Amino acid sequence: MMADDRELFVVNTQCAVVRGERILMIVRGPCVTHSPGVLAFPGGKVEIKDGPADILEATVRREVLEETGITVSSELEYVRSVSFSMNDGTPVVDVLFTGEYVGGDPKISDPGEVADIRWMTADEILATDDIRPWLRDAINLLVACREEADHAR
Amino acid sequence: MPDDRELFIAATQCAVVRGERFLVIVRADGIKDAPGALVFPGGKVEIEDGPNEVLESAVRREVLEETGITVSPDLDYVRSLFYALDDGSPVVDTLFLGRYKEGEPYITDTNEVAEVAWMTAEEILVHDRTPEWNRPDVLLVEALRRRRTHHRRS
Repeated sequence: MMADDRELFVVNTQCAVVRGERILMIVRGPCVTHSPGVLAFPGGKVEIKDGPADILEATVRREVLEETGITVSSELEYVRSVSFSMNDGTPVVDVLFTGEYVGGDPKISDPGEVADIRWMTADEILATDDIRPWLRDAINLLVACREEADHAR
Repeated sequence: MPDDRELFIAATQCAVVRGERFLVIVRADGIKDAPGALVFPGGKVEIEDGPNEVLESAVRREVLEETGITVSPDLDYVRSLFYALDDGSPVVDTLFLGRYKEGEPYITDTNEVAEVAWMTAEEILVHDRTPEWNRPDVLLVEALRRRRTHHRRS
């Protein structure tokens, strides 16, 4: 029996994979339940098999590879966490990481899940029509983090 | 609920640093999970902790509730981990590193917390209440703390 005070979440991860000035983006396919047709980072839901150690990082590496054919650096940087509800009300904790491109060529393995894969600059992403507010916030945050890191160097 | 969705308890912990010491609690003996264990404060994420910085808000709330201590707003993410509770419930756990801001350690709920203390990593590691599973985290946050102190001096 699950105690009442325990709230259960879908835990979702996303990764902004960076290659020079560009970020790996996907257009979500027509068959996904959440936000079809929307420009997004690759990523997906945590599964128990991704754990136990570094479960969020293992999930996002697996999802990026599955969705885009791209391998991300083993070193990932945490960007932020947010929560939201899916259409059916299921609460989601969503964690965004950023990492460097290591290898691979963009390749769609499931067109129902991923309609397109694009390498885009932050400016191109921000100039996209109908950009989702969460994506705009995330890109602005990433740009700020990057400027801070460059400044520290 | 579609089958492919796995649901988790989202748990967070925070290693709050003050000088060379970390804020730790000894969990009450009557508590369900890890009774009597010396651990970093933290707890389960609630929907009300979101939407923004949901993990950070949850851990700040839990630290304040459990110890009376306020953590500085900037938290550093340390690591994520999966484990199952004794009843099998799956947990995704995140650990943050934070700095002491204000407050004096005090226990609000003796059913949950038996002790609150400031301890060095070394003191935590040799303490007989420190569970084996907490040791890697102690080593990890101590390494980060030293690196940060070094950065600030140089």
